[in-house]
Amino acid sequence: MNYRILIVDDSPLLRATARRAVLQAGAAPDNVREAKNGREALDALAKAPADIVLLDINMPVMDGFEFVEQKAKNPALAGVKVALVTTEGNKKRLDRMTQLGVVHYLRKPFEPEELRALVSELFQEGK
Amino acid sequence: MNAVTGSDFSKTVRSALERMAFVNTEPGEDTAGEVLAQAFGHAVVDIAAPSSRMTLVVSATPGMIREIAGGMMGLEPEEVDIDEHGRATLAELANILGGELVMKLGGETIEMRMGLPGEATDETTGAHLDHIGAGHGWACVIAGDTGRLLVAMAEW
Repeated sequence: MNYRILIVDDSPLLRATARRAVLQAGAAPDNVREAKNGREALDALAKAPADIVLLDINMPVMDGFEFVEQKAKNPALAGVKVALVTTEGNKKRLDRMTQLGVVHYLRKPFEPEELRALVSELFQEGK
Repeated sequence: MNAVTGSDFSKTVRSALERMAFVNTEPGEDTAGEVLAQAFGHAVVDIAAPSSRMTLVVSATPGMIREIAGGMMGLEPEEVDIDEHGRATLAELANILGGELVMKLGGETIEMRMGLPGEATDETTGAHLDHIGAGHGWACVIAGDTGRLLVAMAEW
């Protein structure tokens, strides 16, 4: 599977959990990168593109909301799909993300199978 | 804002542990002090509600951390390097359980803010429990196969 995936979460435990789910969904290990916050994610995308970003919200330096707002301003990142993987549940704040084009959302705590299913769905959409 | 008790939240914590890490637990019989005495460490997260402020405190024994981290990463508990993963596990537990508490208290519509999880000292954790003991919050103890988890909410 050739999809390039960027996992963005300040928790090394969650990054490891997400990496495992992504690999089990069929991603190639060399196509999976990690970032610890929104700033690192934007820097990583500037260096090399990604097809899918799995994005936490509650992070230091730059949170997931700001990342999505910055991404929306950059036409070069228009083709990057973002899926929120977060504890955030506030409808108003999530609606704002939807307005900015984020349509996939998985709320923590999730079962590992739910994350695998989300990634598989994103892969299917990209075919 | 909804009222949440330690007993209510104990069920939420147990469900979260089962969902994310396949860790089966029971309500613990230990006291908060007994868990603190064996704890590997503590994490805290602040929650701001429209008219109040809370701190959620999470403390876990090494056995519980190994069970949770192992379940999340697909490892056997004994394979988990607690020095490498212990603090990250506590921080993510505080983050996830803080998010659950926000949803219990405010649902999808009440504007509440949760901070970033941080590490807490034994002294800070003890002070939070003293505050709770004075009637400003609640605590619950969760028992796993090999460890214990203390989750406490101090209201300020």
